Amino acid sequence: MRFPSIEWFAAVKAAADGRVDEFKTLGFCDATVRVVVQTSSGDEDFVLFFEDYGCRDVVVGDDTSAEDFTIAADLEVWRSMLESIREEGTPSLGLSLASLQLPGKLELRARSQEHEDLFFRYNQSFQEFFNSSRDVATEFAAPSQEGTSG
Amino acid sequence: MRGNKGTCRATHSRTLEALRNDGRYRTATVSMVTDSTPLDGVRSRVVLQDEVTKKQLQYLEKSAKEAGWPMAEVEKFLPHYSPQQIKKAMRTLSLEEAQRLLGETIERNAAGYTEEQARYIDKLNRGQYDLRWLDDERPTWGVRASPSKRGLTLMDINRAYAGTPEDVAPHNSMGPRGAELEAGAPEMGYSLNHKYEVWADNVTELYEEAISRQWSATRDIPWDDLKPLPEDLERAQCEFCTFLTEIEMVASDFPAKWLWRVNQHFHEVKMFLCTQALDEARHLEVFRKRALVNGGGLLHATAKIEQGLTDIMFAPTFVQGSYMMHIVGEGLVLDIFRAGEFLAQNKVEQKIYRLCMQDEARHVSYGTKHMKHYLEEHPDRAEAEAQLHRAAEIGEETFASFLLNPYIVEPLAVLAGGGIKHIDRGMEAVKIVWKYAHEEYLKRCDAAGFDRRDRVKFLPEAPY
Repeated sequence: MRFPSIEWFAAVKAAADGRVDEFKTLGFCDATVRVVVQTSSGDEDFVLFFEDYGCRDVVVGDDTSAEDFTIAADLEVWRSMLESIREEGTPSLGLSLASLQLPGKLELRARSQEHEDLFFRYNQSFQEFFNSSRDVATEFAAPSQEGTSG
Repeated sequence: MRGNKGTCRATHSRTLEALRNDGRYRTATVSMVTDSTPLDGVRSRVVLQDEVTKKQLQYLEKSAKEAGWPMAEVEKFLPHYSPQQIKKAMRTLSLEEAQRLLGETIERNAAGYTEEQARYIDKLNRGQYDLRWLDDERPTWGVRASPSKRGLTLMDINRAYAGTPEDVAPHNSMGPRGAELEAGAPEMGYSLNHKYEVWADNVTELYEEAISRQWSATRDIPWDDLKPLPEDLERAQCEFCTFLTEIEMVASDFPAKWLWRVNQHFHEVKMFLCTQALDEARHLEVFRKRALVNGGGLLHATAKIEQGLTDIMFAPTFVQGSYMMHIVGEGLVLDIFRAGEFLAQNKVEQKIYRLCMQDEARHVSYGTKHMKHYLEEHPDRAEAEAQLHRAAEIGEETFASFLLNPYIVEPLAVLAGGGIKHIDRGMEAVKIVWKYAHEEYLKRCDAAGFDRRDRVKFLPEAPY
């Protein structure tokens, strides 16, 4: 499955759906998250609708999406996190969403601080969503198309 | 409804019995100064002091004379109320009111039952039931709240009935919002009776979220995975955990201090503050555990840090303390926890900081929305803003004192740099924390409609 693509996000959502009991222990999570992957050929963005105990839907992002916040990073940053998840089940130190955000490798944008704070309030749920990618065979788009994992 | 300053006595009646049976505590008293209504502390039937001294009796005689109460009436109250309680009753009630309100507890038969209780016992013994409750008003009869996908939430039941609190609590009792309250309920002494003083538009959702996202410092942290760290890193982590163990509980103590003063009409606020108190207890627990689990232990607690905590604890109003705690203090701690995940030396610490970060963000969210509601609904906006500016000036000084304290800054820098040799590199991360904390603090003020940008007391960039 190519990352980034809507098929990849749908596959991760399906994997996360299979862990619903684990997500329930994390508690409910209501947030609309725009994920931007910056590639050599431009930005690709996707919108993830988190609701209740999981991700309700994933769609390709467009201008009409009313996201609570956006997380944006270069493809290589996403790749580092996802490969690390693939190898260890969870991201290595420094490669979690929150760890990447502090030094600015992952940019967090929101229309207000209240919306931005949702990133912190539900962080474990978002991280577990991406951790579900360990069960999804992933290949990466340009600029590093030779690299694959899974 | 604000009462006079007064003194109230309270403990549990069963404890009282134990205390009475123990000579050591025979004359023990418990008292605290608090905002109170006239009856607060008078109607409490718990008396820890069961011997009246000659001096107290003389004082009561003098007070009775001044109040115009016959001493014979005062003596009727004495077996049941403390001299202080009776004195307070003489100050705040007429004799007739006192007889009506306090007398019920005095007029008992030989078996210890009131007249009403004795009549009911007699009725039951004759096989008769009261059944008055079947004829009572039934304002909610037929109401059926519908559970949502995640279960039956407070939002679901609030949609069904009595979900919106009134601007001013209709009474000062524990009668549930929306229930029929019979006359004669005692005053509970609440001092926060206006919605704007405590409410936040997201407080109901935050309570549900808090309950839903609880975690256990015993069960959910993979303690067994923790490996020994180099001494400088272990020491830095333990110093940092000592600091966090020291400060976290203030965010339990502060809501607990104000909790009983919040009118139960706003039960969602009380419930949320309960979750916050538990969250912070867990934070103390997890950082204390981290300090003691890997060979380092608790290190140096600094007195200066606690100055900021006293500002919160002794804030004169709830909203001012809430501002200093939820907006300034927890906003900064949220940034520190977020940095904590970045600074973690292993996945155990990473998980600790991430889970604490979630809790802290919830508390900050309440504070932000509470501030917004307070400013929008306060009858005097200028006065409301003035109160918050006063709190901000103190709180912002505390902020600076935290990030200019070597016992906080340097352990952070050692952890961020990966060791004492790289402390300079680690200072870059501390500067990022300062910058984020400054920016986000002001953005939260913006979100609440509170302009601090021209007055803020700490710099946008770290002065080092």
